[in-house]
Amino acid sequence: MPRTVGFYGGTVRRRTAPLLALLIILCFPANTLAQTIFGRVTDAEDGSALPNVSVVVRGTSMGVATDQRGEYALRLPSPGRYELVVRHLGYETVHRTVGVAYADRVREDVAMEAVVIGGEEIVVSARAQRVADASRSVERLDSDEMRRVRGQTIGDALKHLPGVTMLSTGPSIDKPVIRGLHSERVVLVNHGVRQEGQQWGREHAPEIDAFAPVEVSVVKGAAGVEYGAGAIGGVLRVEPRALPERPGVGGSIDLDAFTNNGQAAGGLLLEGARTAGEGTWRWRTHGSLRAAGASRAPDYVIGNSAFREANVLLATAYHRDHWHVDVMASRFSSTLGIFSGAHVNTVEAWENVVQRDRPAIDYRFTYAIDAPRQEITHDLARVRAQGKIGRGVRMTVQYGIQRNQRREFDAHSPGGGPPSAPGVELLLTTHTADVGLRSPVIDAAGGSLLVHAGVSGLNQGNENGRASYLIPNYRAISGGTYARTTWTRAPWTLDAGGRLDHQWSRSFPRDNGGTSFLDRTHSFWGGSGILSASRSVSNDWTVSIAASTAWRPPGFNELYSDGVHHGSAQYEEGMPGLRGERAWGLDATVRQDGDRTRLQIGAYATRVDDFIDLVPSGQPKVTIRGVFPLFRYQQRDALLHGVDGRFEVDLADPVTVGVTASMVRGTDRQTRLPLADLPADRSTLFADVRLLHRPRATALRSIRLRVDGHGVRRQTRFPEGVDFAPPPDGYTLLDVSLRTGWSWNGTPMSLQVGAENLLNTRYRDYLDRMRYFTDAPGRSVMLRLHVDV
Amino acid sequence: MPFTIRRSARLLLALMFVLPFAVACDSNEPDDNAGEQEVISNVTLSFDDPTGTAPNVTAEAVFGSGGDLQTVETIDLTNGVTYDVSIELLDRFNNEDITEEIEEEDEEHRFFYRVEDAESGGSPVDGVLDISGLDADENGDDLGLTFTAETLSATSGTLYLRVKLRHYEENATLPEDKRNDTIEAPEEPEIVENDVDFTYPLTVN
Repeated sequence: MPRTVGFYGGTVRRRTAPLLALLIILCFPANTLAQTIFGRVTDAEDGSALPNVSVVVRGTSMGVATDQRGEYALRLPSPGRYELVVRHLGYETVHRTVGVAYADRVREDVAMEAVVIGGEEIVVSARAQRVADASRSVERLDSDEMRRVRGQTIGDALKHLPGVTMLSTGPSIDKPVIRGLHSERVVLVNHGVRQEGQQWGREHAPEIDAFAPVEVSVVKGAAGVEYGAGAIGGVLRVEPRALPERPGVGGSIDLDAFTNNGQAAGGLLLEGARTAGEGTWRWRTHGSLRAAGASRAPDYVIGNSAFREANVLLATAYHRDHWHVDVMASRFSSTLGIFSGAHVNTVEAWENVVQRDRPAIDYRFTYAIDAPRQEITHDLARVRAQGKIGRGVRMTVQYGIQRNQRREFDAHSPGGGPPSAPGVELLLTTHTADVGLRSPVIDAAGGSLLVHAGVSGLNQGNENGRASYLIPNYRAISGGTYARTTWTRAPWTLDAGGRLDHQWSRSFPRDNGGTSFLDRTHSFWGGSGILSASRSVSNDWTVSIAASTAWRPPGFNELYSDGVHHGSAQYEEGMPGLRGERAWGLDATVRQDGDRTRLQIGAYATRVDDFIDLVPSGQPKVTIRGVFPLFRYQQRDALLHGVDGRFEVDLADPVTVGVTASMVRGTDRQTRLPLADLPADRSTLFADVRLLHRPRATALRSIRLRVDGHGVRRQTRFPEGVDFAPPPDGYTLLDVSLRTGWSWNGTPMSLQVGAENLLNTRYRDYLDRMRYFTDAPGRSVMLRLHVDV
Repeated sequence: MPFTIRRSARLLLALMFVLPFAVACDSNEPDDNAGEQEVISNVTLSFDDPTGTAPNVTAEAVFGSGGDLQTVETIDLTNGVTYDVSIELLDRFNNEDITEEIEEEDEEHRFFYRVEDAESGGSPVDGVLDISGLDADENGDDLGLTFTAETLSATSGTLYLRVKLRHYEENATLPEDKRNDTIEAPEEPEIVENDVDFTYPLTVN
């Protein structure tokens, strides 16, 4: 039974059915022939029955509790669609929308997930964090929502979340910026494992398949206790959709096409479950392919912006009694071109380029990928085992290995001609191990208390191939230990935790003058903490406040850069004496989840001490290619604050309108000057209209129209004299999509036709590095087909 | 049975945690001279007097792996001499001769030489050095790996000899773009790039 979901955050459910029900009740008060929804509520972990669970029709007083066998039967006064809210202390609340025909009996079984840092309890485990989420600003896109907003990259799906923007390098590289922070200040958790790639580069996108059967959520703000060093700005979690429970084989096919860059993409999912002995064996295979040509700005082709991607994922799990073992492996591989006109290496060339309003060359559309280009593969394998170790304590042990290879080819070699070897070739191998413990629910002070604790370790090696030592070879070993308690007693939830991490590293930066290498060791300690309180003010309203602190050690590029970074026309010098960076965050969130309206607003202030930043030195640096301004990695204190949120209202039964908005401000605390590269203020207005909804029809079942208008202001707060061009003008874009649901011989499928940048508006975004050279892509008509098999 | 399962499971779990630290303790220390992107690290100008009267002069400029200028020798010339000049470019990190690579793709390259009054970014100075006779590429256009330089007058103080290597890219319309190019023309990212652009101190006595 598919859930209907809200638009920008997954957790919000539509609230139209009860209104309809009410209308029907009012119109037919004499109708007494009963419709019934019945079923059984179980613990998702072990399948045991859950008694005394409340099952209520949302927005009404109709409700029952389950009996000792976990069963319930709810009589309804009229046919229609009902949203059931299934609640039980200690479990995640479940929302189900159920359609009931006249005098019908519909079975709806519910498996509830423990609300605690539950089954997959690991520091980095995504699902584990729902308690923590309660007191934080979290945005979620479930798999259905992902399907609706999925674009060319995973970033395309995320960029409409309030407080999340993209740092881009052309159409194919998007990396998430959470409340103004990005790269090494954002942790990416992929299938429960902290993903390790070459995070430092602003032209390095997260290595995630946009087609994968996942749900994505974004934790905004410092989250060091759960995610360790680096989670200063926030966390992007890519969680697998649960493996199928019921025996059998199923799957789905996805096909996407985009006209702007002639992109075709497809994904195939096969998954199943079977009983094996006394346990259950579940499995999944997923593969996807993507091929895109050069993108088109409204007036011209963006040269060499084609890309290709091929991804595969295998997962399997075995579950017996209280033991659960699962194994997964995936490969992401991508080849992408970088706009040729962006290969600007000197200051004079920059000045020349930014004065032009279009590229010097009229490029032709092609699927060919030329130099400069990137070739990336990311392999991940993970083994995880969970079980009860006695006295109700659950333990999870996880091991993950990742191998990230990045090859970047320069436009040409110094001698001329195409480069024979990549200019950058880095192989990053990371082993991670995590052990987590979760206590049983303890009665304390009239509420229930849960304790989690764990240790985690990481061993990482970076190796250069036959290429420049942009990032030195290094070996880094880090470890952390944490403990955290959550206490709940309606209406309060309190959460407190602490963590200690240590990173030791040995690195081999090049001795710039000679042809040998230096040998350096570093050791960094850092603590993280969280203290939060959340209170339900009424049925609809929740108010939370969280204070947190997190840190990160300096990155190897920040310590040891020495040279002109590609395309930046600045000589970047690392600082071997950098200290760790520490963030102090305060975050207040108000949520409302009412009958017809849904709201989430977060306000925050983050102080970052010893904020590592590339600062212009004001001195020239003479190089073989002329004189460059010298930039050094330095530390200063920064302050970021802002507000973001969304509000939706159901105007009438089939019509929902809403708004999302975000703004962030950042300043250097000493000089009071604004920080560079902060996203401009932005907002989106949207309308969603369900033109047709017939869930039991045999052919066309639903039509849904969605219109989004995005407005982005010009960034007016930026440091003067650092950038090559002032921030571009603000812009507005219009997106429209029509999504239809079908049943074809009993096979459900959906077909979506949409247009992004419908009006073919010319624009450039401040956070797109290609803004100096080309306009952003123009109109793209897309076609998306999803078939469940 | 459950005890054995549990025990072996525990062992497995312990192993999973310890394994990553046991297997991967290679320090990743690079071999000396291991891998380096091709860079121009040494540029040498050789001034030879074919008559053998004035001393020959060589001046080397050394750059770090980041491209930063580390040392540069002054070109000390004798007045009234016509020198045969050649330039050599080397990648000492990979031990490669870049001069050869330029010769192979000579129509895509052009050297410019000019006397200027300041280091890296001065104005042209006439009447000190007459540069002519640049060798030609396969289209008959100037290349500049070799040329002649006649010293016209002695200098008071130090002047600078600017060396610029322009590289015409795939999108360039050759040979027209190259033929019409000048030392002052800026980089055009998609058409022409500066692979070398720095100055040698220069004196003529």
